[in-house]
Amino acid sequence: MAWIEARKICKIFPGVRALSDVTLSVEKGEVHAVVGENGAGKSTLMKILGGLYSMDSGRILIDGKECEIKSIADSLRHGISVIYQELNLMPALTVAENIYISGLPGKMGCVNYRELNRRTQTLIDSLGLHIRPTDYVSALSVSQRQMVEILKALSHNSEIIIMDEPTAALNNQEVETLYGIIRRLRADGKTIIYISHRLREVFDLSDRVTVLRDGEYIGTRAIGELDERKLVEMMVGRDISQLYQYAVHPLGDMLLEIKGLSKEGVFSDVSFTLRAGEVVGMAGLMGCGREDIVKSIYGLLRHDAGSVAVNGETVDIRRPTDAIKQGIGFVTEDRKDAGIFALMTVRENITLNILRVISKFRLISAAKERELLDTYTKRMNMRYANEVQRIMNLSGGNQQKFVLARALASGCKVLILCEPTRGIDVGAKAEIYQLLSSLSEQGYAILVISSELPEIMSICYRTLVIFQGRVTGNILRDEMDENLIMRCATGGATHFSEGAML
Amino acid sequence: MRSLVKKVDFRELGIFYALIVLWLVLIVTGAPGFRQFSTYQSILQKASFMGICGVGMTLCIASKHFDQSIGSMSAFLGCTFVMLLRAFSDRPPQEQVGVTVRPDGVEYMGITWTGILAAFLITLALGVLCGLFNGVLVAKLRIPAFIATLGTLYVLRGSAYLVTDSQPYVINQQITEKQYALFKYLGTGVILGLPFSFWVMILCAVAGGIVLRKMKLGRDTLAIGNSVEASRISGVNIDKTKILVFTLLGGFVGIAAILNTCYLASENAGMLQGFEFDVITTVVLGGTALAGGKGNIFNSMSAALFFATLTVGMPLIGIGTYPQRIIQGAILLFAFSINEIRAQMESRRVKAGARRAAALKSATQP
Amino acid sequence: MSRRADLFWRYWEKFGILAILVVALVVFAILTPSILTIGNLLNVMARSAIVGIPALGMTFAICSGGFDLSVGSIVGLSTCVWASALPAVGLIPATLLTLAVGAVCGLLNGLAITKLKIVTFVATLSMSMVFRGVALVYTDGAKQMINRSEHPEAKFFSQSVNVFGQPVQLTQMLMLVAVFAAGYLLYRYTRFGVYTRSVGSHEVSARTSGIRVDRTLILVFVLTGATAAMSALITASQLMQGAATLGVGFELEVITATILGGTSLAGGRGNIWGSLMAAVMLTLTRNGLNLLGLSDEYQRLAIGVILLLALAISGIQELTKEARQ
Repeated sequence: MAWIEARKICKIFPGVRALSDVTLSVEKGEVHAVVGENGAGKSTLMKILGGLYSMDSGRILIDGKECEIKSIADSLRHGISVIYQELNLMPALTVAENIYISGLPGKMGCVNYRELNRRTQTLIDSLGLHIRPTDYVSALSVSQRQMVEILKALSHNSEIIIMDEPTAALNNQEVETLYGIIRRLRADGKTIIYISHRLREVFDLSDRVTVLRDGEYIGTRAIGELDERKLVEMMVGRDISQLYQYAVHPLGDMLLEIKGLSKEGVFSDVSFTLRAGEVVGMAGLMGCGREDIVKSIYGLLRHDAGSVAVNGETVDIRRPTDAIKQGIGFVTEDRKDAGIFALMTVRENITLNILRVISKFRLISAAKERELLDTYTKRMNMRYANEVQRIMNLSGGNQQKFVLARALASGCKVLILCEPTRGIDVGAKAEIYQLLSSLSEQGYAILVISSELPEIMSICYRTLVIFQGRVTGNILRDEMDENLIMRCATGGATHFSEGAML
Repeated sequence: MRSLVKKVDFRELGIFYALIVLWLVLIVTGAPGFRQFSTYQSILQKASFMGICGVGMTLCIASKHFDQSIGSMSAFLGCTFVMLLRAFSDRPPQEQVGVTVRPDGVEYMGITWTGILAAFLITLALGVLCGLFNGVLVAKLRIPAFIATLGTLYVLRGSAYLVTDSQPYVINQQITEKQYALFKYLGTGVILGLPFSFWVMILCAVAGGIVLRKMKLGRDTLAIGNSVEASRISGVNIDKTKILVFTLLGGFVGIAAILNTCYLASENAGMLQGFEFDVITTVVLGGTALAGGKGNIFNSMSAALFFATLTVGMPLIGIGTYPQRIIQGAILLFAFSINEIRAQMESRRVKAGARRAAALKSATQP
Repeated sequence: MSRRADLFWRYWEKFGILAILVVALVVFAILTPSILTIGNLLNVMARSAIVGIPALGMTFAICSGGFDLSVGSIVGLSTCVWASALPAVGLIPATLLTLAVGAVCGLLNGLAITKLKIVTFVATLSMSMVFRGVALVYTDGAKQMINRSEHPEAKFFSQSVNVFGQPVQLTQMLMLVAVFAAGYLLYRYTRFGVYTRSVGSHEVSARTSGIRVDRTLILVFVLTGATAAMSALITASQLMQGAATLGVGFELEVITATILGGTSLAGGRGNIWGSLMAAVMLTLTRNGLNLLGLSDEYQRLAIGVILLLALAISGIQELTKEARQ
């Protein structure tokens, strides 16, 4: 008898069917993993259970009784608490206020701060953490914030706890602490729904697994029936390797050379190189400083020390314009808010980096814009209705191609991509992999930051691993394996492949 | 023609259609005055001041900013203009010897054409400087635009009182017949049946349209309105763009202030209170959302005409000054919430479509 | 360098407004020594209630990440309501009615913000036109005079009482103290206070944490509206009249007081005592300029300059923070 059951859940966002007829059935006292690739609908499903989104159709039953979850308060009342992937803390509030925000102790609208801080301290002590109830969250590190988020979910004492990628920002020791918490909760008879795309964690922790793919329910299995290969097959469906074949390209000149790049408190002594024809991955935990490293290469952040050389010449990049001039392109992970110009047309979106180049007498040449659009449409196979269509109406994959095209249009030779396939479907994903491969064949040097190890392992010639702002691994393709990368990423090991240029 | 159809999204011209419908309704129902050409002339006259400032404000709002100070700014610039004309006169009126009297009986005294030109140029330059000041506050000191310009609103209003010493001034005391005719022409002249200032508005709108659609500045403006972060990655100079946008707005306000002063032939420091509301209302009615990222000069101009029709028309059909304030507030609220309403309708439509598609899919797949 | 700058800003946040107050006092003492008489200073303290009380409401509004530009219009409308109701129904009912009107104005602001999803400053800007228009229509543009001899009780909110031989406007001063004491408790020790800060700190997180964001915001604006109405009571009682044109541009002073007091424009952090001190400082400035013989327009000019300076200082503070990153 299932304790919590979601039947035929549908959820539609403008332009996307996030969930169609998804079913989830979890038994009391088990750790139930929900897995799937990015965009499979895991987080959407959890947000529906948490009362953050409303479903368009379907039913939710808890203990056999149908219940309506329309708000976060409903969800809490039904004994569900959720740890979301995006941290949901209020930086201007203290740790204690954050944890108990939805159930502050005290009478008549007043807050009993003594009681609040006492309770919080007890909770913190029970996990052996080193934070104080009165610390402001704005002063905490990313992993400490993640722990506060976990404490917040535990504070409700809910029967069902949903964890959406709780380990994304945690180091090894903290992950162990979390494992301990989960096992203890299970021993107490609580039900845990655990979302992760780290398969190792799934096999370590869970009793049963539900797999989602592209918003659809694929199946539920006991963990014993599965091995890693079978699980991946369920997640990916069409094996991505059938859609995309890695090809080796000859390496060319050294295009980018980073030496001793440092920024106080963020990263230190980062050195690596990129050569023409190579796709290099960059792995690491959330908050390890990967994004900051590439942002400071591109001139979005300042660094304190170190040098950047392009084509063997040391260059001074103070702002993105300098980077663009030096032939470096950058594609952000935050496509919606920092990648596309949502309300502008597809044509305008492609030329923003190079308006000066395509202007005559200070007037932008529409003909040249159209020419560029046509070139890249052919080259990258974008699909849109007409050139005045607003880019926000395109699919995620098409939008991403435009962001890439904008970087390429400015004539770059070095491409830095952050999470290039986040939130786009499998077909488009394969297309982008293919594109990256052909770009590297044409002599581009490509650096890919990705949180998905399978992605790095399938497209990269070499991968750099970052732990706490330092390079702890430089692993060649034939030595790459998920465990090794994770060990380097959590400070458990360092590994520098022989013969690989750092 | 076909390329025009391709380039212009006719669905986005809502306010233009609304204007046409409004005029048709007023004509057909025989609303008082709306079958006389002179009514339309005064509408165009009124719209032109809003429209000229509206060009600058469209750019400003498209960049996700906002300028509350333009009412005070135009009062300040108008006052400065009049005071400059006085200052460039040969002698202050009270010291005149041998006053010459014009045929219509108005006293005048000498001001050179160079003096008039200088007054024009200095006023425009001051407008640009005021805008620049706003721009620097917003771009360099990172003060949110609405509050920074709230500060300049009061500073400029106070400055207007300062330069005029709280006295009202009229123009025609200081000039010769020909010069008087010039100011009169600037203020109330008519070319091809349309007021002179309306032609100026059209010129400004064309210039603004070229900036917005055809120049890097316009693209950058839209870009930072869409996403500052994405613009930074694309190498847009964000501070410079913001400053230029506010500076341009200041220049347009300068033009409008001079025309308005000529139209009224007088100036006092207390005038044009709340003019910023009119301009912001028209721009937002024209579909330039406060959330930034898009802007359409043609729509802003249509909205200026629409709004001017209402302000001219309401007294004609017997709505008093005071209720007009409430109506204007309501229009403003409506204009600001229309985007939200539209977005909700849009998402409902998309969802309904997707649901139909899903139903169809499950019907075809047993 | 950065440590020292850090330390400077930390002290600035705590004592900056105090320092400004002292400097202003010294400057005015040199320019017009008559400002330093006990009677005048007490007068300034009491008159601070007019700006101070709505500044408390504004502190909550800005702390919640919002903004209220309709304070001036609410004051205008409230004076009209009070002055016209008082002769008809008496002091207490008229006062309650006025406060209710202020609260309803705030409620309308809150509804426009949460239900129509309009950005706060624009919503309150539009509503301010509506409120002012309603006041004009209600009074038909005429002043509502209260007859002093017929209704002496109307002086209640601006009464002077002799304390140690000095006339002190005791009601105002008590109102100011009471409102700020209550405001501080509300801010620091109640759920509403925590909710306000959390909404201002990170609205999405607050929503995800199960806080009823809309309700909190509406309450914040109701509070702001009510404090504006309280300020209107004092103004109307002083002038013995209500007029739709009262309080034009008043929001400038209130906002200046709040920002000068150190409430962060970014939301999430308010400074109640800072607002109080800044209100006193602004009233002192007005008083000083008055004694120097400068008219209202120039006093406003000065306040505009002060606002810009306060904004510039907080802007520079942000910039130094940023430069370190």
